[in-house]
Amino acid sequence: MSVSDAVTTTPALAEAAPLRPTFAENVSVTRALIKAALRGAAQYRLNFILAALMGIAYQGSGFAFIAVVLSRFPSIGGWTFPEIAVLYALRVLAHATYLVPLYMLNELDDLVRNGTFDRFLVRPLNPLIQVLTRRFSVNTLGDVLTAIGILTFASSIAHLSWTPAHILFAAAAVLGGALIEGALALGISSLSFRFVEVWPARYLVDNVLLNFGSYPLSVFGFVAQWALTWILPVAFIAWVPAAVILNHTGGLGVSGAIAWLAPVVGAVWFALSYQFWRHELKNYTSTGN
Amino acid sequence: MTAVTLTTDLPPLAARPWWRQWGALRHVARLRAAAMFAYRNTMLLFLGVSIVQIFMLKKVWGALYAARPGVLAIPLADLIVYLTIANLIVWSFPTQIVSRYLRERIREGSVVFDLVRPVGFVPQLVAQLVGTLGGALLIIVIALPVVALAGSLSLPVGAQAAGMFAVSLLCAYGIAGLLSMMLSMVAFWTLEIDGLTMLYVLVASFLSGALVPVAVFPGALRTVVEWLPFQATTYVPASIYVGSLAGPEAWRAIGLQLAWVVILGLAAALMWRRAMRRVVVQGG
Repeated sequence: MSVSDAVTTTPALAEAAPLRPTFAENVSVTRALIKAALRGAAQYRLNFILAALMGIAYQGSGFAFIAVVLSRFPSIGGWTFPEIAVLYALRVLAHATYLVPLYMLNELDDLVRNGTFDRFLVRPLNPLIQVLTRRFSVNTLGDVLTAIGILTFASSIAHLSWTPAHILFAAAAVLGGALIEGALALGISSLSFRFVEVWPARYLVDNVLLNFGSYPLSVFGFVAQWALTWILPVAFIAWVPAAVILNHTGGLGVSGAIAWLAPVVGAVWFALSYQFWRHELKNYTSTGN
Repeated sequence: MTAVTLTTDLPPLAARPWWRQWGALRHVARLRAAAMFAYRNTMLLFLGVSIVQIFMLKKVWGALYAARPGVLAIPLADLIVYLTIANLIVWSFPTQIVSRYLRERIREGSVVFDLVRPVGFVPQLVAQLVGTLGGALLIIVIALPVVALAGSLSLPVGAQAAGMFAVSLLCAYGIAGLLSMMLSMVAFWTLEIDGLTMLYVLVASFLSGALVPVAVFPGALRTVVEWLPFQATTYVPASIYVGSLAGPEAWRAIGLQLAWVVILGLAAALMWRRAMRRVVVQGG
């Protein structure tokens, strides 16, 4: 089995001289860990289906709300149903793109509390990768399915003009949105090295993203819009990118040119967040003995 | 690990009927309410999330009304009060806490102690629900100023509406309590109900009218919503509170709520008897 191969070969190498494994070794170990996590998740079929259903219900119920109210009202904040569908699709797509690789950050609290995290520090692989590849969580598949479903639906009703620039931008924007969510999750999780229990903060931020991220933020008034653009960058996850794709950049609170730079915001936030992670990691003191 | 199967023909330990065990039941309820305050940070966090949602709904509905006034008979100011009340009601439902408690007991096998107590298991469960509810209502009273700021609050439209609201709310808690009891009992079969509970909470709060008044649901979906018990847990009391449901129509809605209490009560009793025939106590 490739996992055991990888695990037994690395310490041997470490003994030889350089403690730091090469990039190629890192990649092959990571790949082996991902494979093992996937195989582990596929063991429980019923749980697999239930977890996927949950993911669908969680993201789908928000869309059902929008569909129901916009069957009677023409628009929210000047955005029609097809436009909001595009916005929603971008948000769920970014969310799924973030969740599939980074879901295991949710369990960092537990790993720190029961001392399992110690193990990750003595192995010659980036601790973050070890946390992320511990297990594969299946409810992320529900998010992926919902994202694809809503995207297909939204693009069939929204009359989008797909120039190559738009397609490239959309792909970058989804990645950027995922990086923003990832940056927030990573930043909050990093705090668990100091405070151990951080899930309440994560739960609150998740709910803010879910509640506000699916609407044109101008609806919530100036103060909330400003805070959700410059303090918590919710605006750049889906609203600003959707406005660019739909040529609907009026009322964004940022200029059209900056709107095109939305994907960069995610990259910057994630880079800062990773630096923060590395800084906080130095503060880690084991809880057990 | 050993598995002991309890059969229903155990010697009758319940010496006294439940209505003569008030003391014990009150104690269970009080402990449950106290437990709510032991976890007050968690409870406040969940309330905080509800308050964020109330604020979101206020703003979204404001934008909808601005786009096309007059779609609904209810004025915007009343609708905001309706949404605030409805979300507080949904938040106060003890579904998740009691279902998590029961799941733990069943998984650890400690449910056997609950079953052999001289106080019946169902009355214990009801006392737990009541205690949780009491704790929740106390927390709401404390948080009321913030809630009013995020959403909007006013007194009930009149004395009669206030009285009918009280009756309707009591029925609503009866229905929600029975539904969560049935949900919790699923754990006797499956042992695991965390996912199911979350799915239930999502679907129930959407169909209850806490996000959208029932009148907004289109065509067939509206018929489905009207025939399900969820709207009787939230839409009916909150509508009576703001006066959008009044007079004979309101009495009819309360009658329907009572019918749901009876139907769900019978269903829960049937489920309970089935469950007792297949209790497996884990542990050893």
